[in-house]
Amino acid sequence: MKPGNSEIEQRRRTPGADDDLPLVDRALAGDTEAFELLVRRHERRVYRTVLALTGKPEDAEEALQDTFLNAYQHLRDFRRDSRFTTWLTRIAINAALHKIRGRRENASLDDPDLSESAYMPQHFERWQENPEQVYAAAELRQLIEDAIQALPPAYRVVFVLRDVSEMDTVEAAEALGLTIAALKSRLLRARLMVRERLAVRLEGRPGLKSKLVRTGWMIRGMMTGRLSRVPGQKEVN
Amino acid sequence: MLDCRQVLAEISNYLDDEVTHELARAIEKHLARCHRCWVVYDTTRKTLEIVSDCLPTAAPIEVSERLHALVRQLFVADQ
Repeated sequence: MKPGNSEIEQRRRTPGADDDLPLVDRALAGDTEAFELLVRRHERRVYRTVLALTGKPEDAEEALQDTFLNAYQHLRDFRRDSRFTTWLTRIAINAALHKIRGRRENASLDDPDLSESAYMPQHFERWQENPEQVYAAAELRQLIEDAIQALPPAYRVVFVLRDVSEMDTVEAAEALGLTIAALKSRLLRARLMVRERLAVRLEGRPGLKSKLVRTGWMIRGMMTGRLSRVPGQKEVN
Repeated sequence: MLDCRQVLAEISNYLDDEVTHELARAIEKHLARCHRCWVVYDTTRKTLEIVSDCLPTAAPIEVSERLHALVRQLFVADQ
């Protein structure tokens, strides 16, 4: 079992826990190479975060640039009461929310107080065994991106930090200023909502890739004069 | 004995291995006999696998190059 709320305070007090600090010190002393190293170290995670939050590559690129511009300009304001990566993530979230607001979409991180029907499971059928083999990667990616975008921002940001950017519970709670209990509660609901949207498509129905495979088998069957059993379909006696 | 609502409330923590050993065993006992809860558990696990596998892990190279060019411009402007 992982530790609870007190872990945030404990981590703050642990010296040497943040291996970005030497680079931050060098950057503050005017070492531009050190700042570039910080960019290289964190750009992947920041991009993954802002892309999943905004859902649009062009907005994600601008948010990525804004994040490091702000970090550079405000590096002296980094008070070291959190890890550098947590501080940077807060900047990245704000940059992404700014882009979402610019599109006149809801960017409020206030809990919308969802009714149970918004997240309680409705689909209880098994999924195909290996969706990755049945669906084209682009098709699955689109499904996931649509499901994430459909989440209210307060839930989307929790899901993105934990399951897309793979931050741990403590760090994600700290980045969002939430208690561990609140973060976990939102994460559960967000995961159930994403699952529900995928379930509509993945409950035993074939994807584009499998349809193409099956069509190929049927054409081959017609050309050879016999309709052999199409893979993935039940045999009809 | 846990009921479905209690299991559902802990599904996310269970997937993250953030429950006690005793609670994990109780959840597993429930999942072994409740098909609906097992499906929710299994498909939530698959959801997270797909998220991890299908989303891009890095910015396209040209996006990264433009970012680094911008950062270098910052340094020049600063001097």
